[in-house]
Amino acid sequence: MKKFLFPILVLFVAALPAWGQENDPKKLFAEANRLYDSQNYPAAIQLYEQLAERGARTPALYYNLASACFKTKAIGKSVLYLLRAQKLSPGDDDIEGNLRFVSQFTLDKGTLSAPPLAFFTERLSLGGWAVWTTVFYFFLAGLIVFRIWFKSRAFPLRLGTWVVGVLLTVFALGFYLSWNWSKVPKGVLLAKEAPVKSGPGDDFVTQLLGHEGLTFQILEEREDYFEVLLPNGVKGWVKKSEAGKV
Amino acid sequence: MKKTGFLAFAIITGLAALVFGQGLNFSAAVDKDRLEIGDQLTLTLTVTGNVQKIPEPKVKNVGDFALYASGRSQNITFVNGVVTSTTQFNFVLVPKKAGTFTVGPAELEIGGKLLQTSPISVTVLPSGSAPKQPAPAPTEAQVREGLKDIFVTASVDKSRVYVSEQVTYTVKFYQAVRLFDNPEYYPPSVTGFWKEDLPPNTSRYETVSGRRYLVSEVKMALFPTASGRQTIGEATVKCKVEDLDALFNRDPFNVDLNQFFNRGMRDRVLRSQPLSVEVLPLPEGGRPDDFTGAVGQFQMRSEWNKKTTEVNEPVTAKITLWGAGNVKSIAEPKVATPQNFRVFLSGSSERLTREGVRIGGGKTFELSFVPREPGSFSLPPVSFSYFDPAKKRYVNLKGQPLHLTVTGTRELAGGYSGVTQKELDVKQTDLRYLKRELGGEHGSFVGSAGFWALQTFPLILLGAAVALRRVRDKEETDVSYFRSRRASRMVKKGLKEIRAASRLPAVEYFGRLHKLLLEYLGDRFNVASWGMTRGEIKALLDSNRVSDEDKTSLLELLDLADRARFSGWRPSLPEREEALAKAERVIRALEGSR
Repeated sequence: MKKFLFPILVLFVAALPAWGQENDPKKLFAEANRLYDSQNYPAAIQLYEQLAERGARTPALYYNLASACFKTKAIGKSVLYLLRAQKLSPGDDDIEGNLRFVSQFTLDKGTLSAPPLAFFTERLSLGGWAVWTTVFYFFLAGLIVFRIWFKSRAFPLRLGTWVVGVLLTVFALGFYLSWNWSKVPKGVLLAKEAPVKSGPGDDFVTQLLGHEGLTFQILEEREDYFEVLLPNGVKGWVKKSEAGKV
Repeated sequence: MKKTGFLAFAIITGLAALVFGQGLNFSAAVDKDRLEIGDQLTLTLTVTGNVQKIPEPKVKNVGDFALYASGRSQNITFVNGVVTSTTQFNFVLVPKKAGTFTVGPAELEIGGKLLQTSPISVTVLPSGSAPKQPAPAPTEAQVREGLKDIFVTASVDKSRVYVSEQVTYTVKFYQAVRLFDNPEYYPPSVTGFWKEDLPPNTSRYETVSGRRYLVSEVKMALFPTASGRQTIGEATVKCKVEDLDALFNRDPFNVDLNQFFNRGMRDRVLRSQPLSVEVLPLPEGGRPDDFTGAVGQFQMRSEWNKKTTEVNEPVTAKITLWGAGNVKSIAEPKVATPQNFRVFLSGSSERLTREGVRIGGGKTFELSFVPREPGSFSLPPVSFSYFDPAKKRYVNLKGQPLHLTVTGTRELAGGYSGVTQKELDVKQTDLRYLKRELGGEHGSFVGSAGFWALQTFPLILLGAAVALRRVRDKEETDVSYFRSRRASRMVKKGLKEIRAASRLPAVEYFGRLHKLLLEYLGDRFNVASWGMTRGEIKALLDSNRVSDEDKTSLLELLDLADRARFSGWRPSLPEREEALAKAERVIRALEGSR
């Protein structure tokens, strides 16, 4: 028995690095990227999804997975994974850029759910709102500190403080709305075409037909259905099997 | 007067109770012995006799019925010194399944005796097997006779309608007595109808058979969904009314608080009669192919959003229908899908209106036509048909056709619907580069702990500025505070300079030390220290509670400095060091005593 034990031990120890490499998320991620670069998109998707299942749910993983899905024309999944990436990393410019880009390919045009006061909040990305809010915040704080320190009541300084204060309020509002919007539960239609029903069941009236990549807010979850609010304001029910939750 | 009358009545009732004895009659009755599933029957148990307190009877066997108690009523007559009490216990029985069942017997245990009613046989039919005949509406005389103070009636505006044509159902609640609470209304079961509530009417007074009633009205618009005889169930109103019998007959020793506070009140459950409506099927003859079931009077407007488009870029027809009828049941117009197009419903919205008792409104559909290839096409007009029950015929409405020009390239064969090969080729380069680092779960600085920590920095800065400004203000306005704070800084700096100048002549070295100590004392205690005598310095130190040890050391140092300055004494380097160290010790002690 002893004479077999040693070779087994040696083999086990020798296999350890290889095992470690196979399970190292960074190595797997690099391998998936390599498959993507060599245009083997289905294999790359498989590897990215394996990583996600193992818990490596990072913005970069979902971002790359979305790109791979887009390459295989799975637009719905691409939108879903980009929204997941955005949820983890709000304000990431690459994610927002790809999301805008991929959304061009959805059939229900302009289907990305709109945040409140969209005409205003969509002027900047969440990161943009955050940066400008921080800039004006620091600027205002600097002005106030200057005025306190030098006990200045000069008109230009007072005017400057008010102007920067108003700008900060505007940008802080934009940031607040965008930030809240990033936290709203959302979903994406994954089926090529799916009915939006008036109730949670097949017997209910079809209000409209949604298409792959249609995004919506999730208002409620039932066993088999999501109650959704579509970007055009229509409320309805979508089968869970035909959609994905962000 | 009222109180005297009440007392007299109570005494008479009390005397009557003394002569109450046995001779009881216990019976059971039902309001019907045949009913359908979904219907209900009322079982009334009546106890008659000269007894005042009657416990609740028990119904032993209720078959496949659900049993609900619906209250009790009592009537006492006092004729020629003989008191007779009639108490009725009401129960509602709701059948669970069809069949013939025996209800009862009911049992009542009173005065050690067990009384039983005879069982009653009831037949329950399956739902819809025995359509009910509408109960004849009670005449005003019947109403007066039977229901007296409060009653409920129900009516419909039409008893013969087409499928999906509106029937207006009205329930009226008449009351001629004071109620203890707002009545509770339970609408009827309207299986076989689509229901829309109508705005409630305000209450008004009506005179029936010479009696003035306050009448409350509830209306409901019903749209039958199937032909045949359809039944509208009973509407129910529950209310609390005055009950003088209960007030006078209550047991004075009963400690039931609920009964105590509800004395003089009685629950009443009133039911309207069920109604029947004959629903006619829509005529088969002349039914258009595009008819989807809309009934009423409607108008239509259709608009196209553009006349030219690209492959895969939808053209939308917006169809607006409005008029009187159940707009909720209007289905999307049927559209023949033109060749080389996909058609889908891209949106719908509806608006329900209530004009008087008529339900109406509008519904908008958006139909998107997506061309698969370029060219010139003619899209057919959108067509919509409805049945007008007033004219008893179908009406067809048509929109405008569209001559559409489609540009672009043919759709990618077998590809994703909505993405052309051209788009993929051109746009793929716009997809941003892959991320090469897996990173952590929170890749963005926005929302991270660092981000929020950064936001606190200006607040800290502001706080510090305010605090420093206050210190500075104090320094500027409070000379003593300013000098005291300056003393520490100056003395430390001065000692450092003297230590560095250890090679200076003794006169200058100790002159500097003497000056520094005096300046320190002046700033520290906010006094003019130049020219102070040894005695004045000692008094200053005493008044500021400087310890004897420190006081002595300081005075010795000043003496030593004077000696070096004026007596020609030349101290060695170690002596200078020792003097300086002593000065540092004393100052440290004085600083520590702040």
